[in-house]
Amino acid sequence: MNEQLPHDPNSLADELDRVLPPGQTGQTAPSADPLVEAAVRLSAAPRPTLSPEALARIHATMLAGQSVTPAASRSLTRRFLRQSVPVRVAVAAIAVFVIATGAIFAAKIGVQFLHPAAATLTLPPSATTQPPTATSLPPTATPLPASPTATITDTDTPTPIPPSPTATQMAAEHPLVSPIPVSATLMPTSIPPTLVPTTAAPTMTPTTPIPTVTLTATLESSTAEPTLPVTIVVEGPIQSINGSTIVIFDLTILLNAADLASVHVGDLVRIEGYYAADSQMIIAIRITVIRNTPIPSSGGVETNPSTGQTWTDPGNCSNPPPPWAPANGWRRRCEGGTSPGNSGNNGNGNNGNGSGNGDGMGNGMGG
Amino acid sequence: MSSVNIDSWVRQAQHGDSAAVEMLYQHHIEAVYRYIYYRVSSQRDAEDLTAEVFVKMVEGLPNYRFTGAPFEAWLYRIASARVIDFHRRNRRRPESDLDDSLADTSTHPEDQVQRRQEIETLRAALHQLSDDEQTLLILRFVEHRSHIEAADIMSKTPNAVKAMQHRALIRLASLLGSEEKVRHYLRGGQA
Repeated sequence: MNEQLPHDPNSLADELDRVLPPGQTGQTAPSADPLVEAAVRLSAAPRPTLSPEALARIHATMLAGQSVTPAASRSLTRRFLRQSVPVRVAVAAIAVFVIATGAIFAAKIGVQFLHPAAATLTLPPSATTQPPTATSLPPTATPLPASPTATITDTDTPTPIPPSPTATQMAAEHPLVSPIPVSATLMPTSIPPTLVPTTAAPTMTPTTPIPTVTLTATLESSTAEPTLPVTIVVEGPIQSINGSTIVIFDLTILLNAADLASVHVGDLVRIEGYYAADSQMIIAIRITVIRNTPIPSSGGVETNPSTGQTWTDPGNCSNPPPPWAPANGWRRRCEGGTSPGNSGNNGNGNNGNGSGNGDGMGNGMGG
Repeated sequence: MSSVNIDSWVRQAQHGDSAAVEMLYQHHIEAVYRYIYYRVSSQRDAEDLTAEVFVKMVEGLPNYRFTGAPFEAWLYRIASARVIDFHRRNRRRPESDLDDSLADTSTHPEDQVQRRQEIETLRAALHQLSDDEQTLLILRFVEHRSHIEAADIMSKTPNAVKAMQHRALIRLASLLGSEEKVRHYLRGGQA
């Protein structure tokens, strides 16, 4: 067998055109060429036809699609744009609403931050109280369980958050600050005259030598803001210590005496507290010293710029510095953290450890 | 049917003429069905896919653009896409079902069985080829289109179509059981 067979696409195409002319159907003779034979088999295969039922079904399906599709001249894009107008309007309205709501919420947060004492305390005019005196109720007195205690009605905040005992003690020590907005236990000493609401002056009548207070407090909000003090956490270095307050990031924070003794200017601390009701001051509930300011142990040399006199920190407490030397490291190490009067002397108050507020320290703690 | 008429129907259909849509449908329905029939394994699936093709045609007519290619090229592209999508969706489906679309007037059941077997064999072999190869062989040997027509429909040159036809027939012949003959062919016809 040595027949001449097509070996390239063109000759095969020619052979196929000869054996199976395009556009013609019919019987063809079997070919010895396997490729032509395969083509002939395919060409001779039964031609499937659609049954009338299938034709009707396909036709109906197409007509259904056609009825959904409007006039052919309308492009799908135009149709989509036109039909989606209500949806797009609704989406735009929702977007505007969301943006507006976000702005209102941001404004709300801003107002809350800038004016934390938005809540006012109103007492019934019928309440009679007597301002407590320091002799009868020392600031360190154990808080008296108020019976029946203050009733706090808060229309905006269903569940009042009770403060920690520390907060109450803080308030007792610092009568300028009122814990009333959060207090479920009302201390007589914590109702100073400065907390008298503008609408009615609360009065208190002690019935026993240890006065018990019975009053009804209604906490109302002047705005729609929550009336409870804002709980705030501040974490950062102590910029300055002024009396019983410290300053972190220009926020003034009130500490109790115990906490105050454990911190120094420059310490990195975390303060958890809340805003005082009538000021921008923050009342610390809890303080955590994250990192203490390193205290130089030796090598510090101070020079009096006026006289040229020098003083060297020996690293222990054997050589007290002269009054003109700030020597904060020595003083903090050897005098317990205070340096009475020194910064008042030379006025610089900053030897690298603090931030130059010796005046405040001297004034507040120097006694 | 000349391409001028078909183009005219297409333009009328684009302007909402349902009679023109009907003409396009009548003119192409059987060819589209045969094309799909050879590319899937079930008569019912072929009918469903054919219906889908014409629904797509109606939906897409407003956006149809005349590019110089025949209208049926667009229809075959739609059909090919539907088939590919069908196979993607039905990878694990049974291969075939009973087929009554083979218009067979033979009274001999043996002949009917033989014809069914033949078409199943051809389908199974075709399915082993690439999409383009299947389309080309169906156009050339089921629809009896010339190389140039097939090239127009497939947007290829006639030479590319001939080369593809050569490769496709070698594979098809091999798949159809003509291994020995194919090997002989590939050796240049030497015994």
